[in-house]
Amino acid sequence: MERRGAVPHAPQESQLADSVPNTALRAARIVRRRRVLMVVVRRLGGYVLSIWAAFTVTFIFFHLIPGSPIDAYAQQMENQFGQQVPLSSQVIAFWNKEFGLNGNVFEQYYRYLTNTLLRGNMGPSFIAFPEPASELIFHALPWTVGLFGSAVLISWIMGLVAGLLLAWFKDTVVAPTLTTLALAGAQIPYYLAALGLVFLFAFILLWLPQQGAYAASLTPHFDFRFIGSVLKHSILPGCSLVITSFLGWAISTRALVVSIMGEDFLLYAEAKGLRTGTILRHYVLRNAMLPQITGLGISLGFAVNGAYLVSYIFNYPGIGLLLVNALTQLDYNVLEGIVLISIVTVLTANLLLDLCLPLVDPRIE
Amino acid sequence: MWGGVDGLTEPDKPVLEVEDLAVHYHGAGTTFRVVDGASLRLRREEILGLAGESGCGKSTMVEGILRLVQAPGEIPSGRVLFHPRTGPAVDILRLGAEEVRRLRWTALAYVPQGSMNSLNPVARIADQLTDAMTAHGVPTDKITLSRLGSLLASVGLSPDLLSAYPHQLSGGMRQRVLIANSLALGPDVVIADEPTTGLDVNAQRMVLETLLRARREHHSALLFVSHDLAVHAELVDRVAVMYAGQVVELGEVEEIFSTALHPYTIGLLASMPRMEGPRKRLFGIPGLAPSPANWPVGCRFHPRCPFAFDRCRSESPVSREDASGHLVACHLYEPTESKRLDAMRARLTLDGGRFGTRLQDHPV
Repeated sequence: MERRGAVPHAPQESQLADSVPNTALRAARIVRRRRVLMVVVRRLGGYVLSIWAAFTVTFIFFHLIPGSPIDAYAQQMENQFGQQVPLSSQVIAFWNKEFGLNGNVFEQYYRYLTNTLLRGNMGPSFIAFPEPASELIFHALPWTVGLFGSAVLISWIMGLVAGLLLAWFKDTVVAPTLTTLALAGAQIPYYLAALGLVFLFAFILLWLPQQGAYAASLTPHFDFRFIGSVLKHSILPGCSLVITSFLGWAISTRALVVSIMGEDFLLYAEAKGLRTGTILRHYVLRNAMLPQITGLGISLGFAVNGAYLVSYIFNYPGIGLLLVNALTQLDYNVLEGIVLISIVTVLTANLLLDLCLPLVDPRIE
Repeated sequence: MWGGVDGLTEPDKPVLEVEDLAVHYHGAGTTFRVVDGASLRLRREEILGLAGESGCGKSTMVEGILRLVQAPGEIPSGRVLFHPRTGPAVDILRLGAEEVRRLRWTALAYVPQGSMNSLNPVARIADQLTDAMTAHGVPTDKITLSRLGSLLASVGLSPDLLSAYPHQLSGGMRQRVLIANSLALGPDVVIADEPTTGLDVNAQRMVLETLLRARREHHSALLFVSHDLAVHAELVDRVAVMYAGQVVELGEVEEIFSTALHPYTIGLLASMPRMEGPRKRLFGIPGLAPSPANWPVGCRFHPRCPFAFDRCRSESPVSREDASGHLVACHLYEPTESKRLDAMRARLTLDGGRFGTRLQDHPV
């Protein structure tokens, strides 16, 4: 007892300290670990099943599009050259094989699944033939993930802080006005914000570049000049996303915090004489963050395929621009690839969320 | 009732004095004067019960004393004097925010009524015991697992629960965690708001014993709020009876139960079934409790009081204290009204010490 530094009125303290990790607890932990493993296996199974279902639905939808893409391609060539180019059956058979359209539906389905799921091969692009569609997509992906992923993260963090402040100071004169402004601002569509920003900073003030991901004179290199250029080019598209969505996060966080501020445990925390910082961090934020983490996961899942218009307005070489181009030129394989990538990211984000939430919220088993 | 506690230094010295406390809520175009001129005095190391029917302002008074009233509520007037063991008394209502924060939990600990939601749902019990200690300057190396464990053990809970989350605990266990938490820093005053309500008798007994031990070990005074007179009879030294936002009677618990003075207290006791003595018909106080938006003029109990006279309808009674320190706020006890008092006593004797409406369907 003396070794530990005696605590008054706790004569049985050594006995208590020893009893904390007792055998019953250990047994419970083993049972719990086994249950957690079961949950993980079940979630993974569900994940694989949903991916398969989504891929199958995509396959069906793309096969429901009337007409054959090869015919459309031949038609396009005819229009382009203004003359009849009779495609021989061999040529058509070659193209059909190249695009995986030979054989009956089941053969095609089998080939589609093995190619896309196992090899990540979506076939060649029409526009950039013979470049594989997957190649185009994986070139565009880092730009999208980098720009939109960080925009979502930044606006989430900013929104959390702003919402917390709006709620905490709700009885002041300024906060209600700011809340109303935020409510209005959150309704501005991001593409409108983008147009406004481009107009102001790229056309009138000429402070920032109006389009592209980096200066045209540069080639992608890992040096300061290139990175600086990338950052400079990402300011406007990034801001147009952050400004509107951070206000949305702020509004929802404010609502959450206001409801938490009415909870009994907050009054209790105040009665305990905790410092305001402790109350905000351990009581308010930890409780408000849980639903917002779910929201963040969903937003990150959509970051890959969201905000096409911003990508288009800024001519940003991400998935958005690729999708718009593929749509206008009916590049089926690229379209299909983008749809599949979007499905995979949303489902993966949801899976990670499902598996991570119990770590932050003890109430979820 | 539990007098003769060891180490009782100056038993009559107050540790907390509430003077004319008012807590008002604004809403729906009116002011709800929930607590309106309530006074009481808590002596050092005593257990003072706060009794009264639902809605009389008990919990609001507690929040007022602890300065926990939230908007749209406010404390327009009153004083809450805290007497530290050393140094001059301070008015809690006039202190700065940081001074109040430092006073909390070390001087005034609180056991809230809503035990189900008073613990942070996403933090472990250990963390919720620890944060109050660190906030009041207990060094981290002094907060050992065994210290926290013995805190839980003192309320009859297993130290294993330290790593548990609130949702894994039953209501009674949570209530005991709250009590353990309130004793963590050995406060001068513990204010417990309905700590036994909603618990089964076993858990109730546990809670009461813990509170008694708190006084024995930490020399804490206890303000014990409960609508349950039986629990008061069990635990407290003195009882304050609240009606319509004011304390109408305050006295030793035996005196209140044997010779209650205020007609309201008499009515309240007549509505309580007794385990001993001959079976008697239960009585209820006639009429309904008044609304805090519109207290009756004069004595607030007069519309329900069978002994009310002209003066009660116009003039609010002032609290007066008899030689033994028994306080009552009723015009009948003024020297000039002794004839009316005798009449009341005579009538009560005729009715077996009771008045009011006979409760139906209660066989005798």
